[in-house]
Amino acid sequence: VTARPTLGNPTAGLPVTGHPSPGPVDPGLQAERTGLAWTRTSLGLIANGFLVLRSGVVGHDTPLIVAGALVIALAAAVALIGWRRHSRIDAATRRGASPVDLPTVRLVCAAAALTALAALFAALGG
Amino acid sequence: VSRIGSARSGRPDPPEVRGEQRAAKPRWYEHGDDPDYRFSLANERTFLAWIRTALALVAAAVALKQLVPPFRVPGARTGLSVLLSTLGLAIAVTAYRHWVACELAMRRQDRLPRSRMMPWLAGTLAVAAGVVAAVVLLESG
Repeated sequence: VTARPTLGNPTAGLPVTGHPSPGPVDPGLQAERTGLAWTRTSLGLIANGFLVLRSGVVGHDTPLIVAGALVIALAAAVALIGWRRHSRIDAATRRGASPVDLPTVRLVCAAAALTALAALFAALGG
Repeated sequence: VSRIGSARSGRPDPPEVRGEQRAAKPRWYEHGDDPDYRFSLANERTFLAWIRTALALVAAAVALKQLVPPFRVPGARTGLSVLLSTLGLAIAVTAYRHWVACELAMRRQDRLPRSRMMPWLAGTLAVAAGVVAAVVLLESG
């Protein structure tokens, strides 16, 4: 039984083609780019969280203050996901498992939907 | 066809795992085979790009309502803000569904679905730009 190709060893088990170089370990830096995409999304959430929070404070609107604080907390969680994503993708592909992480995708989607609802609330009120 | 990262190929599952899988109905993310991990990650990054698009629309909506003084045209500011935040909400929700549909299509080796939000995004932004141009003309005139 030969080793299966993984992120750490992409050429394992593949036929030898005569090229002495095994090639890059992570072609296209997939794990790193995906982690950075999460980090950028977290930055977008933080900006929105402070905008919603400001709307609540200026308009003395408690639901908007709560929503803004919640969005900022979710932005921190998304930043944490982005920080760990690189090594988690690496670990999953080394195991030969899918790198898909359903709860994190649902979390960032819920955070964006909450932000949009708060914005709609702010637009209609006041 | 690259098979780098495609899991479960040519490796029989341990018997206890097979028994469990037969008992439970497979979830959508267990249909077909794991795609090349790079395709799953590209799908994830595309999903995040849609989420960031939604967040940019929402930020514009909140900033418009909060930081821009009222226009001479009544309701124009509120209307634009509602339009942008509604589009942001629709994109955030459909981004998840699109991500699921793409992941499933890759697992089943089907054709990738097209995003239905693309024309809505372009159309709404064109309308918003038109409204902003009209407001600017009216304010300066």
